[in-house]
Amino acid sequence: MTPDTEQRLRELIADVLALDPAEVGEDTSTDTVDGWDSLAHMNLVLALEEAFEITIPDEESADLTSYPLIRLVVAEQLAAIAP
Amino acid sequence: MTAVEAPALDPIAALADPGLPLAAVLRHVREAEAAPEAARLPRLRFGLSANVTADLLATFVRRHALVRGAVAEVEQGSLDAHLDNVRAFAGAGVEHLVILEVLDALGPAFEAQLPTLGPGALAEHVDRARSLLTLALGEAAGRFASVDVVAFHRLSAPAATPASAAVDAAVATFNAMLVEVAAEHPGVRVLPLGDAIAAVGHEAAVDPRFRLRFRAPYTARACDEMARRLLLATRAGGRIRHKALVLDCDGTLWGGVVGEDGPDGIALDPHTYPGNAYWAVQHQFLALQRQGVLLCLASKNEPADVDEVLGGHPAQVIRPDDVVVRKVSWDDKATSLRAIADDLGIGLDGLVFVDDSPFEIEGVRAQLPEVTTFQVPREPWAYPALAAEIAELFAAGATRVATEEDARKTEQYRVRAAARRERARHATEAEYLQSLGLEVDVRVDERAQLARIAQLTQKSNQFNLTTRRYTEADVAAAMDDPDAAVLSLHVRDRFGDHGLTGVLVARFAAPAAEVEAFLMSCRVIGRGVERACWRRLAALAAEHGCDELRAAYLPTRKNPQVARFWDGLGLARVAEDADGVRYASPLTDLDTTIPDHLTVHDS
Repeated sequence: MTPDTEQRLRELIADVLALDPAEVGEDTSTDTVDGWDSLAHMNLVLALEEAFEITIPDEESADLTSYPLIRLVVAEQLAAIAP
Repeated sequence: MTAVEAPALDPIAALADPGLPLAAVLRHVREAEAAPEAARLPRLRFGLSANVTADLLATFVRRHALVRGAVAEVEQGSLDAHLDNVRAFAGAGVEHLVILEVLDALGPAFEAQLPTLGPGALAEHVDRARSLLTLALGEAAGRFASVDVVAFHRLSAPAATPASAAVDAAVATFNAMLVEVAAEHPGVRVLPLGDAIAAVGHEAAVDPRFRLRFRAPYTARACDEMARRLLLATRAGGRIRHKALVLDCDGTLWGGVVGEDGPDGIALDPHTYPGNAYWAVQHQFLALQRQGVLLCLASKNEPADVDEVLGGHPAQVIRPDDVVVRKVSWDDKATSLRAIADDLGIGLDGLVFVDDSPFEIEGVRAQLPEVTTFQVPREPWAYPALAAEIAELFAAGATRVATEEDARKTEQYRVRAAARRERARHATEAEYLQSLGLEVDVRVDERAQLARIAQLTQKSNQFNLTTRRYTEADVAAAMDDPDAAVLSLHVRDRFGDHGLTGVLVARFAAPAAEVEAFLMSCRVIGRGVERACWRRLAALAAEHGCDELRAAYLPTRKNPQVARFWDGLGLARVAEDADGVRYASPLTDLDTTIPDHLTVHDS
């Protein structure tokens, strides 16, 4: 994942979870962010799919519980659709 | 101003961009609501009671409120608990109640069940939904500024299969029930917000994953479009006040210029292009008139030419009687629009103006920014789509069981406009009132008017002493009660009939009679009509052995104009607290004098 894409990802997560993009890091997870509930999770999936034009499969969707995991899933899906 | 000078830092401006991604919507809504300017914006307090997870809908309601210059606070009810939600919302100060009952969520995968559900089982579901809605709407009566129920709609994509037809049939059955229930509760509207799904496209509107997983069927795009329509239909909580549609003639009602081409030369015709575009648009505008929108004309023309088309052209759809005010002259449009607003007695922000000339549109925009303007598209084929957009602005998408009064609105405003012009001719207010030839009928327990009486108690805010809301059943109960009376006031003058415009509800418990409610329609305020009913009330009170009269003024945000009404009738203040002012006086202190300019029939 390019630094550019990673920056976009951090900003998107910050927007959805009401954080400062600078706060989004390796330890950002459902355990450390207040308000990362099932509704925020839904918004996160929808926003990721819209912004990166990907579809997050069911089995991956449940894994989106931290910034490192989200980065991994998004990178995989981007690779899957890469020409 | 260029894009560079206006960086996208203003979150409200950014929110108006229809293509804004979800993440940005979430951020801008938060930022806009937290901005210092937001503190000055009016608050719209919504309560959303749904049988599906609709948090995202709330987010988009906040977005569209901001776009329209307000801040929405959206209370979310518990799933499937309308009655409890209604109670909680009323306690929490919610003003706009929205009930969203999604067909598919009436039972597990309800749409999938429908094709195999027998008619008996379906009827049971309909009855159950009817009971729930009736309970919730009964509880809501009189406690909210607006009550809207979203019409039933399907979530599955329509297909050419029997199963799909079964879903459509069920939608129709449930909606027939809903319209009946809404009709029993004055002021309740049925909003076809599900149409947003078709507008967005099924694929893009329904998320099958979240529908099954979290009972959250609507995508962000669907929520966005539903919220946009909701804000339009609730007129952004009163922030949208459009009442009248003002139309230019040449190039707007028809193609061509009647003064040059003659009535036979204009383009207006059901069958051939481009006349058929204007013909279609005239039907669209006339449909608005039937829903209570006031049609007016503002045209630079010879009045005789316009009259000839309006009255005599075979393909003309909007006829002279459909138009409330006609300003056909060589005055500029801003002057005509001001005069129209004046004649109608409404603000300039109540006007929507349509013209084909960019020059006229610009002139109006510059001089009267309060007026909403639309320019007729250059290509006539694009005009019906614009007319549909205009219809949306008038919240025409909302269906409500129309009363006879709605249909007569044009007539009543025409009468009032004539009266206003008349007023200009009289030197003093007294002379003017005298010239009106006002007559008031005061009737007691008028059963035939149950619906109108209940509607008036639901709708009147300004001239309303106690702002108590009555259902038809409440009114009927008061009429049946020998120790109560419902007085209704009918007003007419030499310009026409204003209809039933005042209601008084009194209870008699000797030795005291109490006025429980007294209200007047704002259509007749300022003519002394409110003095017409007290002679009759005093007589009724005496018949019931009462010699004391009690009354109250309960203040609301809307009714300060009647704060001293009882004082004016000679009643004495006996208690004042946070709720209001209580009055009590011997019946003989009540001033039952009827102003000279009124003729009252109250026997």
